[in-house]
Amino acid sequence: MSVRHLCAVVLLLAGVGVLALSAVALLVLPRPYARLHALSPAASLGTPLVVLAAAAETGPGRAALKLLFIALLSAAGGAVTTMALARAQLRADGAARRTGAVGRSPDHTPPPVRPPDSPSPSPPGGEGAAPGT
Amino acid sequence: MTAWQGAVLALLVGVLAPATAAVCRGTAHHRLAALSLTSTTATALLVALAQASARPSYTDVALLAAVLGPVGMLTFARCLPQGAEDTPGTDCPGPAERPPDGAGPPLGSAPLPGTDRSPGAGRPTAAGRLPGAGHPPGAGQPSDAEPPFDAGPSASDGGA
Repeated sequence: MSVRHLCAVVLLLAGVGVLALSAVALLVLPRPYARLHALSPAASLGTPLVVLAAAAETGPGRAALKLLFIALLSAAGGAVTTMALARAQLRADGAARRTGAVGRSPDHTPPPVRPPDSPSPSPPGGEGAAPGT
Repeated sequence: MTAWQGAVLALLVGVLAPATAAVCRGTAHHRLAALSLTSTTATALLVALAQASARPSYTDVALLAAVLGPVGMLTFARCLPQGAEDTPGTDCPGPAERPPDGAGPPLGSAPLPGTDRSPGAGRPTAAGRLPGAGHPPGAGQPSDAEPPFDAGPSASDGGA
């Protein structure tokens, strides 16, 4: 067993371990924003480690360069994807807070910032059908 | 069994199967997160499979998955339902039904669509944009120009 093969096996074990931990975290973590912490290491650490293991096993050459490019693409794409998912979740939280549809799904619990439309929705001149009159 | 074959098996059973199971349940955002993990794992799996089976051409498929996976995820994240979670009919909003606040600005600078920026002063001009609060002062019925969405429990009853 050469040193290169040993390095490849170590990198491969680390990568598969990170990916398995991410899968477990995706199933276990309850909140949507916590689940993003499961996605990000898988894309920016797990897959690049596996691909780097393949590059170390392949040895210097064009194939290793292609594998390094795959690792780079996976890391960059994973970061961008995680940010996009977080932004979509944030947008959905904002819309749910606006419409008052909080708590419709079990794990969708945005922080209770303020109830919708309770702080001064009515202008001083009287708004809508006055309920007392 | 070599280390690469063991890695392929571990990725298939230990990562891809739970992630695929997570794709099939939960809310839309949960499913999309699981789909992202599935795409990431597929790239690693294809690379490991190329090493395990000594077929370097599988690496090209992994390269394609690494390129197209984030693109698909970005598209799905863009087209997620914005308002009520998991409403089956609300797919990718077209340009006409997009909320006017979040339509124009580029990625990263769009404000939240529900942040009412004009609590009291801009009330007459914001009657079209804030449907539940834009009633005429004397009428109890909403105006005809209101868009159909967002007729939730807002200030339609006068707000006490």
